[in-house]
This record gives sequence, C-alpha cells and structure tokens, in this order.
Amino acid sequence: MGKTIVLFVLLLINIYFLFKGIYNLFRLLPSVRSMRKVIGIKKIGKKDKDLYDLFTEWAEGLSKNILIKYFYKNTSAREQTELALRRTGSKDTYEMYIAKTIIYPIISLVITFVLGVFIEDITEIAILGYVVKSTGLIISFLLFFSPKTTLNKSLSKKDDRVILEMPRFIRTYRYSPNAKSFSQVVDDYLKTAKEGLLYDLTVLKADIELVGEEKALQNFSNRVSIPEVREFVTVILTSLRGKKEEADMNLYFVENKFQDRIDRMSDEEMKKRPEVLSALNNVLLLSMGVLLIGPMAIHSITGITQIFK
Amino acid sequence: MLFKDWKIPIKKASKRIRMVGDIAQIEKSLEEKVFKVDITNRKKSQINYITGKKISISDRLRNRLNNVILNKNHAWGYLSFLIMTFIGMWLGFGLGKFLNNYGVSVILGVVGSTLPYMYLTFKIRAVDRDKDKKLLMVMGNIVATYMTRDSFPLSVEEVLPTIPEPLYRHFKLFIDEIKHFGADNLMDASLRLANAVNNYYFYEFMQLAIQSEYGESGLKYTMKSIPTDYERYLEKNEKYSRIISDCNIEFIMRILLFPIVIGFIRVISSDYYNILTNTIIGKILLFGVMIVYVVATIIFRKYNKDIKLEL
Repeated sequence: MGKTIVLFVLLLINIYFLFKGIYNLFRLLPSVRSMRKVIGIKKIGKKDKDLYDLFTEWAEGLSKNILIKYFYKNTSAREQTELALRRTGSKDTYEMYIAKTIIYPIISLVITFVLGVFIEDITEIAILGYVVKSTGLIISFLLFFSPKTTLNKSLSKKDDRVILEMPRFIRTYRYSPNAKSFSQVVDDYLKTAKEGLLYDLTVLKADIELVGEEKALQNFSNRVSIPEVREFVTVILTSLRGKKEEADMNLYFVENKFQDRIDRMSDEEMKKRPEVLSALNNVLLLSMGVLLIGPMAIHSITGITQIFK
Repeated sequence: MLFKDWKIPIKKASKRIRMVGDIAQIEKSLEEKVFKVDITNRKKSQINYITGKKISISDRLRNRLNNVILNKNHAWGYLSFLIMTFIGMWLGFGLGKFLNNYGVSVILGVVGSTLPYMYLTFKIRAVDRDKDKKLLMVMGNIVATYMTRDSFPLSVEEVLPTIPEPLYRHFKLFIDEIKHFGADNLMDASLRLANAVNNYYFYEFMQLAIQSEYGESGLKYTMKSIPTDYERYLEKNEKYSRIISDCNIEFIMRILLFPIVIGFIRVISSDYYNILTNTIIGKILLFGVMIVYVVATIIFRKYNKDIKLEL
C-alpha cells in the first residue's frame, strides 16, 4: 500500500514538471503574432520590384554608361540641372533625367512604329498605319521636351514660394537684437522654416560653417537666381563689415521690394476674377432670354405644339 | 383664415416631437448615431496616417457638418438643422411639381436641402470677418508685451483687459486653464486656443509661442513678423472684395430674375405658360436653364473665396 502511494506521488510530481517543461518551451518560443511583427519590420524599406522598376533601372544604367559617358560631357550643365533637381525636391537623379529626355521618346517611337506596321498588315488600309506612326512621332517629340519644361515649371513655382517667404525671414533679422549674429538668426529661423526657404537655408548654414559667412552668402545668391535675393545678399554683406543698425533702412527697402513682387503675383490672379464673374452674369442673362423667347418662338410655329404633346 | 391653416402642421409636428421625448434627448441620440465621427479609434487613425490613406467621404462630410452645426455663433442644433434641410428639400420639390417638371423638382430639392447649410456658413463667416479684424490688434499687443517679458501666459494676462469680446472668452479660458492646472498644461491649452480661434496666421503664431516657451527664445523675433504678414493679407482681400462686390450684386439680381420671368410669361399669355410647363420642349428648356443656374452658382462660390497668401 505504502509503495503504491509513493509511486503515485512521484508520478504526480513527474507530470507536474513535464507540463511545466512544456509550458516553458512554448513560452520561450516566439508567438505567431510576434513572428509576424518581426517579418513586417524586416520588410519596411524593401520594395517589391515590378516590371516598371526593372525598366527604369535598365534605362538609368544605359544613360549612365553610354549617354553621359560619350555624349553629355558638359559638367557645368550637369551641375546646374542637378542643383535644380535638388532644389525642387524631385526624386530623379541626373541619369534618370537624361534617360527621360532620350531613351523614353525613342522607345515610344519604336513601339508606335511597330504598332503602325501591325495595324497596316491586319486592316490592309495604308492611311491607318500612317496615322498611328505620325501620332507616335508627335508624342515622342513632346516627350523629348517634357522633362525640361516640367523642371522649369517647378523651378518657377519654387521661386514663387521663396519670394513669399523671404519677407518673414528679413523681418526676423531686422527685429532680432544687434548682438545676435547673422548665422545665429539663420540657425533660429531654420527651426520654423517652411517649404520655400528650408533647402536653401540649410545649405547656407552648412556653407557658413565650412567657408565662412561672406563666401556662403555669395553662394546663396548664385544658387537662388532672383534679383531681389541678390540685393538682399549685398545689403547683408555690407552690414557684416560695418554695423547692423546702418543696414536696417536698406533691409526695410529690400523687404518692400519683395512685398511689391508678391502684390504683383496676387494682382494677376485678382484681375481674372471680375472678368470671369461678369461673363458668368452675361451667361445667366442670356439663358433668361432663352427662357422668355423660347415659348414665343415655339408658339409662332403653328402645329408644333400638337406634335410634341 | 389662410394663416391659421399654415400654422396647423407646425403645431402637429411639435406635438409629435413632444410625444417622442425631450428635445435634448433627441439631440443627444442624433449626435451619437448620425453625426458621430470616430476620432477616438486610435489604431485606425494610426493605420490611416502610416499608409497615407485619405479620410472617407462620409466621415469628411460629417466633420464638415459638425464644424458648422456645433459653431457657437448661432443657436441651431442638430434637430433644427435636420428639420430645416427637410423643409428646404420639400419646398424645392414642391416648386418643381408646381411647374409640372420632375427634373426641375429634383434639382430644386437638392438645392433647397443645401440652403440651411449655406445660410449657416454665411452667418459664421460674417462673425469670423469681424473677429479676424480684431485679431490683428490682439496679436500685435501680445507680441509687443512678450518682447519684454519672459513668459507668454503672463504677457497674455497683461493684455487681457484690452481684448474685445468675440475673442475675449477664448483668451480668458486659456489664462484660467493655466492658472488652475499649472504650467504643465501650457501646450494643450495653447493648442486649444489656436483651434478655437481658427485662423491660419494665429495658428502659426501659437506654434511659435509654444516653441519659444520650451526653450527656443530666439523665435520671439519671428513671432513679431507674423502680424505684419497678416496685415498684408487682410489689406489684399479687402481691396479685392471692393472690386468684386458689384459683380455679386449683379449676380443676386440675376437669380431674382428667374421667378420674375416665369411670372411674366404667365401674365402675358397662358399659351406660353402652357408650352413651358406641359410640352416636352418646354420642359427640356426649363431643365437646361436650371442646370446652367446651378453650375453658375458653383463657379460663383469658387471665385468668391479669399486669396491665399499662406507660406
């Protein structure tokens, strides 16, 4: 009897430890949920490549290895376009820009030419093939110019934003105490800078640390090709040599010049509106006239009321 | 006699409302069941933020209606807004039916249902214009005192007696919150103040104030430049509104012309009126003119908005 009780107790203890061991095993293994999370975290930043991505990679490589190596050797032009691409915040590299100007039109031309021949063969109408080919030619012609025009448009938009934000920056400099240096003002302003001046001022700040204030300001005026900005830089440069109070009046004038530019920009939009509204009023008046004269005209044609009843 | 008949349905409706329950209870149930926007669902909003998903159309509509209805510049509630929209819809539909034209009645029903919303936005805008003009002075005063003081709330408290009425209560609430709940509450209180005043320039102003209170004292001088920006903006829009007001009066005259022309047709000859209301050509004519009017109103509203000079 005693033997069986001892054995039974031992069995119970054994079973207890067995279950505890199993529990520990499962506790140490990561759960399905956390495994999924780890997999998800690993996937962040990776992107599944589709056919278009492979194509863009191929085009970029082609433009890098052949076009830029043998045809686009002008380094100053390359610097200018790269600066423009960076300032407008576009994701394209210079290689991609060149690929879009040369390779994309050629590919579209080839595709439309093949399509034209194919259509001509199937339908046996020569004109249809010519139409497709000629439209392909026009499209490729437009594609050749599109990267440059889009870049120029976004540059002019960027310039507008710079002009809109510049007065606030100048005022911040004017209102700050005289003991504060220009680089400190730039540092402080960057904490609240908006889309317009953010890029140019960060580059200016880095330049000031590297090559000093004067050279950095000259680079700034070269980078942002707006005449008012150039004027602002000359005023700041003269104030750096002398005293800050002497430059205050000049700064005020430069700020007013920016404001005039903004006024002109908004006036262009303003002039449009009354014209549109008066045209709208004319349309309404004419539609009233149609409502008034319409029934009379219908009434004058005898019998027409019987037909449409 | 006629007026007595007119009042009977309203009395009946009010009796029915009393039978259903208290008006406050109805408002509460409407708020919970129809107009509720689920802001508290943190996980959903986080997912939307990360994936860059836009808010759904129904939620956006609810948000907009809530912004208009819960505004404190008028005494309307959810129930009165709904009743007025239904009345507007019914009136528009009835007018179309009076002209014996189902297409026109559908258009007029839609237009009539949007009338209360338009009325409320118009009313809120009129109060906001007044508030915006006063805001310029308030911002200037606060900055001028803040230049010589260390703390933003103290400078607001100093200016508080000079702040005029539609703005006074918001600023008083801001000061009271900081007094009773301590300086730790500063960020929440200032954001609440910025949201209550609901102005782009003031929002920027308050953000700069928060940053400068938490250590970046150099931003005081950028704060000082915001009232000047705002003054420019107000000047520009005032100049523009004077030019545009003549066109607006003309537009209202054109809209009033519509019922006058139809009445005129009815007066000169019943034949003409018959053609307009009972033949297919006349119906199509009326429908086309109605669509032209609706499109013109949409364009009119678009070109009457303020010019934006935001950075």
